[in-house]
Amino acid sequence: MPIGIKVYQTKDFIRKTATGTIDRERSLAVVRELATTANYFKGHSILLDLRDTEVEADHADGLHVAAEFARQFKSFKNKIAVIIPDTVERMAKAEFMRTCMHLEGFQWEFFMAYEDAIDWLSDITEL
Amino acid sequence: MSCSFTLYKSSDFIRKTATGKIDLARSLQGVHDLAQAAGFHRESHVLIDVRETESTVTHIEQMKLAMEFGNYRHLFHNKIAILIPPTSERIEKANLMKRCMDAEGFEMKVFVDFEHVIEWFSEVVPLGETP
Repeated sequence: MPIGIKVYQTKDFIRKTATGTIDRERSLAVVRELATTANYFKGHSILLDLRDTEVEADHADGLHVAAEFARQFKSFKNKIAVIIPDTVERMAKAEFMRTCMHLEGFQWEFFMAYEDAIDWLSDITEL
Repeated sequence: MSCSFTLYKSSDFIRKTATGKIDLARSLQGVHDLAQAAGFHRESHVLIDVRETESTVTHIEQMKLAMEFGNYRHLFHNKIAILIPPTSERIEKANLMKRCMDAEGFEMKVFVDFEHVIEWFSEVVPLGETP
């Protein structure tokens, strides 16, 4: 078998693309909308594309959003990938959010590049 | 803030990534490797990622390359995406390669962005927008 070739098995996923300013109230509403969609399309991973957003939220808001995820996504076992703008501020917020989501038991990861998110959402086998 | 939901029904794909200088001999070897893998993974699309390469392949050599792909036509059942650096020279070369591959009966497209490759490989269903 040749080398340097990889097989990507990418699971179906729901992509949510947001633009504009994100605050706590809107974030909570988005979590509920996402839960409704995810419950309908069971077995799908989630890709949250937040590259064209600005965040007006602090750590307390992050805790509330993670708690809302836990309430709305009780039996969710699939991956949630988030793509964020490549800034120090957003990375710091995303790292805090990741900690909260991991404490709630979610497979949650953030990325700056779409390609890295797809890699994480895929099962990759090197030939 | 506005939001949109989209459902991606993904397809498996095999990916060949090359780096450095690529000439005809190396390209032909790549075709053989891909043909072998495509024969094993018949339901998969094919992604050829040559963004990190410099190409010395001439127009005539590109035609030879397309003909070599044609020799393995029976092993390639799905889409072939080629991901290239966003330079006018490479885009021109890739478009010629696409025309040669079209003539050989392949469904091939040229991309400079990985995201667009995934869009092309997937069945994308818009689910609506919220304000």
